[in-house]
Amino acid sequence: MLDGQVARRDPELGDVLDQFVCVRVVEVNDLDLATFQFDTGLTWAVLFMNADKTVYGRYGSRSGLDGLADATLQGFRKAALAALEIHKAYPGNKASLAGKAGAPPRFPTPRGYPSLKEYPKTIDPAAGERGRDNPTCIHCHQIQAAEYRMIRGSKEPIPDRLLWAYPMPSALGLELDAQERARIRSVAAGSPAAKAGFRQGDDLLSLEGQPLISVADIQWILDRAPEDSPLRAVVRRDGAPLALDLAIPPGFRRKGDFSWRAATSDTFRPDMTGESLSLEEREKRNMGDADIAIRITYSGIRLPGADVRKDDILVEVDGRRTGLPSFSEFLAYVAQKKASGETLALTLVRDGKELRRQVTVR
Amino acid sequence: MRFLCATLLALGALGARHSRQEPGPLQRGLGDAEPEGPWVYNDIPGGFESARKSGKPLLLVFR
Repeated sequence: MLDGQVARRDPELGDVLDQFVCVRVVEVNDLDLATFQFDTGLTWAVLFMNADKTVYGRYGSRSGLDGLADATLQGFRKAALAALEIHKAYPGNKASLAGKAGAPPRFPTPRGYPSLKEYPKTIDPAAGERGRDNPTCIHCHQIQAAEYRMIRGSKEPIPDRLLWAYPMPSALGLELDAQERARIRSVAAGSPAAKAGFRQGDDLLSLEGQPLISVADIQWILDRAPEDSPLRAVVRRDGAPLALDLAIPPGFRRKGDFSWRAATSDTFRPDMTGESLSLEEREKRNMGDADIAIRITYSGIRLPGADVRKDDILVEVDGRRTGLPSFSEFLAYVAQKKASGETLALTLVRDGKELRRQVTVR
Repeated sequence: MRFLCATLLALGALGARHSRQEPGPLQRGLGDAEPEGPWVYNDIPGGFESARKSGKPLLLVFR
């Protein structure tokens, strides 16, 4: 795993890591959330910074259930080398880095959240069993869960921006090569990226004037991008820079997957996971692409006579059979339309028969 | 005291290039993988102090 390769200074990285002061942070209980902003849903994230706390860039991405597919040793090495280039040009490039710092957070540290206030300022290494389940340790994803809890506690829907946080560029039709810094592997036909003129093999150099060292840097910008306002991009094509305008359509985030985020299972997610049926599977079942058709891939719902099982097909939610094309959309429905304690009416198909289930929302 | 500890840790890290560092109580308690080479372990102020003195950029791993 990349964490171990970096921690043990893999031979492919050693010469690069020597050029940094490397800090391994395992304790975030009292982390300065204004200075250190990254996707806390990740189990492993990297910030490259100047000693004056200017952010050079970020590394660490995840698009789905496979937590290892989007972070590679080669991609990490190239991001680190790019950060060194930025460092060499600093402070002449300081203005271009201003957007890499975020707005002030709701609380200065994780312990500001009501659900985390009981945690101590520092971890007690002797508490609990040896390992990551130390009860005095705030895990990064708990910060996101604490934000969800606050919103749920105020009976407000969790906004799309916090559910589909840090959208991958694939939400706009751009697939990037995880082995590279920010190289476009493919462009989806008809997507905003295709309409903007992006092409396979382009190297994304900057977005909104910010130099890019990784996919995580693109996600940072997309996370803050106002919808209906194009982003200014510069790519390198055939050795020359080329400016492109990338439109951000309303609701673009909803093409992504956030169901892997542990913060959802900590808060509002029913105790199950799922995935949409493929088009071929839908055709076999005479279902259209708008129909709800989610295969349950795990379920811990074991109520007597009202269980939900792996391989059940979810086809109806609160009387509707269309409009929730993915498991993430189903979770968003729960997070935005159902309060804690309310009931979800689900219809499942098992062995060709429809079964009705009532699930209480946490 | 905190500054002294941070400085000692940073100096120790610089002096222990590419050798396995003796894990402290936190690292042992969390069962964390043993980093090799000059890692500043869980000491953000110490890392920034070391970067200021050395002129190097920082690479901060959050895990």
